[in-house]
Amino acid sequence: MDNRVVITGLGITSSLGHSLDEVSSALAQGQSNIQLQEDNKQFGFQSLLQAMIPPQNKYKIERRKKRFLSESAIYTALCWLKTVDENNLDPQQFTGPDVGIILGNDSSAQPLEDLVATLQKYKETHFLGSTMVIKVMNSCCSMNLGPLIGAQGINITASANDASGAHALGYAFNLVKSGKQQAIITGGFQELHWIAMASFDALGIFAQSLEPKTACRPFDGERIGTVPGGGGALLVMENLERAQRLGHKIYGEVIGYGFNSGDKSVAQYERCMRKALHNAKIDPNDIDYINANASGIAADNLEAQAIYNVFGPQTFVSSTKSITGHELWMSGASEVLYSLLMMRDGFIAPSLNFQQNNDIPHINIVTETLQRKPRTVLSNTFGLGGTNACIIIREY
Amino acid sequence: MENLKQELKELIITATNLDDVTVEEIEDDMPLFVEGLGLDSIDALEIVVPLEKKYGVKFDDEKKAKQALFSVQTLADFIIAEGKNG
Repeated sequence: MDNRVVITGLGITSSLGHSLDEVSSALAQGQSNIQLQEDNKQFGFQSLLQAMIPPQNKYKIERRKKRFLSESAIYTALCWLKTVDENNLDPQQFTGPDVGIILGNDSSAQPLEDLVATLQKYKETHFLGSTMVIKVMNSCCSMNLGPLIGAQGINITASANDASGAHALGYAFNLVKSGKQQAIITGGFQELHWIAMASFDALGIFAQSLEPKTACRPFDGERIGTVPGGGGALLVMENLERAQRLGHKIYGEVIGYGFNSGDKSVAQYERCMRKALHNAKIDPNDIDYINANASGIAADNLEAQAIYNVFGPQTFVSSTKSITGHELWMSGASEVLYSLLMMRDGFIAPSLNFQQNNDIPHINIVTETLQRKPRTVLSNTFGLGGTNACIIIREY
Repeated sequence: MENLKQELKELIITATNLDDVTVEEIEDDMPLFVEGLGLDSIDALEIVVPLEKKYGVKFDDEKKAKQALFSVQTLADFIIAEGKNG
């Protein structure tokens, strides 16, 4: 009765690069692009660190379309162009009512800055023009992507702090699995604009260090905070039958989605992972790699304990946030994409800067790249506000 | 007049983000919309708002507005005839 759900297209814009091969190679080499963002000095940021997106000029968005796009919606449009191009997909197959869009995003700060500046200068709303309204909404990514590709099924944005992307994938999975949609374009998007980052900086959760390479230390005893990153990760989810009929390349199968919310605790994290395992109808020992949520903040210890409680000391664990920084709204989607690239190219990316931590039980943290293909992966996302989502993907 | 036309060309480029067009490429008599420069109704709104603010003209009369927005030349003529501070 349920449909099997597979991922048949990937598109990425991140600090690790603009193509799947570039990003996969940076992950395999543990090559981060974290730098000091000197511009943020003027706003009194406590941390200047940021994972920077390199410039690109291969993909261009036409001026008329760009007028409606915020920073994160530009990442969405670029990711779609890349997805079609890199996976040889026919855009015509993603039009009509059988195809939906569910994206994770939780801010659109850059247009808001323009909006306030314009109103303060001219004191009349009509100076905002007709394109501001769609740029300034949280749903700027999904609302723009719909007309861009012609998909006419569901069109919503999931906003759940840094679990936005993971929940977007979970919702997409459920709708394709239950047959309510044949395909869903899903993913997560994160602007790097300073307004989106300032309130996190205020909490002191970003690493206050002038050493970009060693600042982000997930699970480590000497960790000092995370580092913001961003861009976009787009994934095409389809029911297996449709994917086969259309001859699409299959990156992997989505088999489980677990979620919960509440206090940040070992018990909650554990429950969320078990719910995903139950949903996938598999046992803990079927998982051979965990892409951890850990980002270099205090709660990393809770996750380590929860992983130990469910999986014991053997299962490979790494946090790609040590390489990419914390991609916030995008992270739950990008980390599934990174795991699929590891599956495609046969390696497990390292968790950089982990040395030791006497406050956590022994879990199998991978500190050097492993030449070993992960076949069943759990991707954890434990959002800062206590909203959790675990996704399980399997080799097809 | 020449200065005004230069100003208008700059304003059009800035307001509509015509990154790949220079002032020299916009001819005085070139149609701004559809053919010629190829602007559309959304661009019109982006141009009209700063024009009203800067030159004190009003584009409320649809027929007049359409004539005025035909080219840089017609726009300059319109501003000289009806503008408060042009």
